[in-house]
Amino acid sequence: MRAWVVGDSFGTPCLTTDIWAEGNTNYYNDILPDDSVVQGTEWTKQVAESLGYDYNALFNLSHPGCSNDYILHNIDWILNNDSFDKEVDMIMIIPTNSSRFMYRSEQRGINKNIFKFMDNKTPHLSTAGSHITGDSTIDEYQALYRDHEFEYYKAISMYDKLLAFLSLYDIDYMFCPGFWVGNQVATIAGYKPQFIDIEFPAYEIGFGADIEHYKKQHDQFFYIRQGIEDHEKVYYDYPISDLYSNHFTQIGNNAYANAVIDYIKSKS
Amino acid sequence: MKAWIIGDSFGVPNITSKWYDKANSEFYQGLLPGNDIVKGNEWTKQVAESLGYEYSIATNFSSRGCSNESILHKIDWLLDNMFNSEDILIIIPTTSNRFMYKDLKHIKQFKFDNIEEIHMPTAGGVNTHIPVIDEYNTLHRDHNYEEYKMISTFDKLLSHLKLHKIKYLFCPGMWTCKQDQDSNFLEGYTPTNIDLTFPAYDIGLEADKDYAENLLKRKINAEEKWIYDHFAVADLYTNHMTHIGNNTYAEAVIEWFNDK
Repeated sequence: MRAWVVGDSFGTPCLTTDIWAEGNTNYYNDILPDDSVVQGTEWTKQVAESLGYDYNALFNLSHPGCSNDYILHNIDWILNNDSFDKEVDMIMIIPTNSSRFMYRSEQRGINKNIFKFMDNKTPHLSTAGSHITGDSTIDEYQALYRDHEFEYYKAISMYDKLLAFLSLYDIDYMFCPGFWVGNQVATIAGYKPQFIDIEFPAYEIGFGADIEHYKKQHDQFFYIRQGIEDHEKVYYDYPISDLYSNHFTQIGNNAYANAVIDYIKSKS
Repeated sequence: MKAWIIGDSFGVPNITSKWYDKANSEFYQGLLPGNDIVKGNEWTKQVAESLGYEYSIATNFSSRGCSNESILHKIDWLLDNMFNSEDILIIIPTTSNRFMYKDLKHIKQFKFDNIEEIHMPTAGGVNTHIPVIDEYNTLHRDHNYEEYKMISTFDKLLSHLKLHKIKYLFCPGMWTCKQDQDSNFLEGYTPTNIDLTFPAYDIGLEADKDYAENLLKRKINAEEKWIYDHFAVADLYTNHMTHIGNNTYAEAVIEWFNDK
């Protein structure tokens, strides 16, 4: 009984990021936990194990900054992979922001930037939508020509159909739209998804737990909420959520895992 | 027991197009059939009625030049609104290169319940003359990837329909047409619900080409092929076929259905 995890950064194994050392030393008085503390505390692992599944980072295909296209491709890849045991394994799905999309940033080449279904782990294209790419065509297309409400509807509808597929074939899944409930609460008037529950716990639970915990150890931490001092900018440039690969310390991961487990119990 | 049709131009009710008069008089010697013959002859109607469903233009939501996004939206809307359990949904997907983009001169807000008109224009099948859109489509979209995503999306939709015991007929006649490109990029992926043995539109289009040659009483030779391509029969009728093409294609689909 193995848990396969596919999602964006919130689904990745927890480690410190490449800006952790600078952020921790310069802005957090070296109080933040390092890899020896946070590694292996990811909420996905805690939730999967609480449900009785084996968790192994090798079967975690989540990718920071990816798009829903990438996530959906990886789910298909799992479903078409002989290593996935449809009888007993479970797919944990962590959708991302619908503003992200993939685009070709370089010319096709031999075995380069070419889509092959079996090459799933590394996205074969670049991802835009949540940052400026520097390519004027892509940035203008994203800013002016994409209808973000339509993209959001399409993402919900696509995942709803995916969950229908998994239900039809009795494949265990756990759908975790923590991003959507936190940032895109807006429902789509007239549309009723069949399988998606936007009462799922929001990531704010984990963020809030981290801030509450660490501000007790850091006398300037409250500026992140008050935001009135000149130097409060450091907390926006180096928020705790950017210092860990899945955006939480062990504190945030524990709090969020507990919220998800409570949610599962309340639904069962 | 109604048949609801949602698709691209191949799904629309059939009449002559705006190019018909010119092409018919200048190239086909006035011999091609007009609306008195082709109207009401669409293969979708023939297939729906052969399966025992009522067909009416009012339940045909197909739209010329539309994208798969638009087709999927209409399906969602229909299932949430007017569809009854005894009805059938006939789905006619289109090519994956089409996509929708905002018309900056006439921005319309997306409203799920508004399916009367598509709220954004469609690119991918035509040059829009908007540099950003045309460049994005040409240089930055991975068309193989779009094709895989399209197949996967419709495959999941069909699971949704099966799960809810909704009767459907999925008609990927566009996808099964002869193509030059190989599809090795899909190696390893097996759709669960999509049958790529569905009859290709080539069947109807070829029947019409033979029909046109019979009308002209000669083969369309290589030197004038460019004229034929320019005035292709397929462009002179809204669903791309005369009554001959529609009859032939409907028979092929019904035969396929009976085989299954």
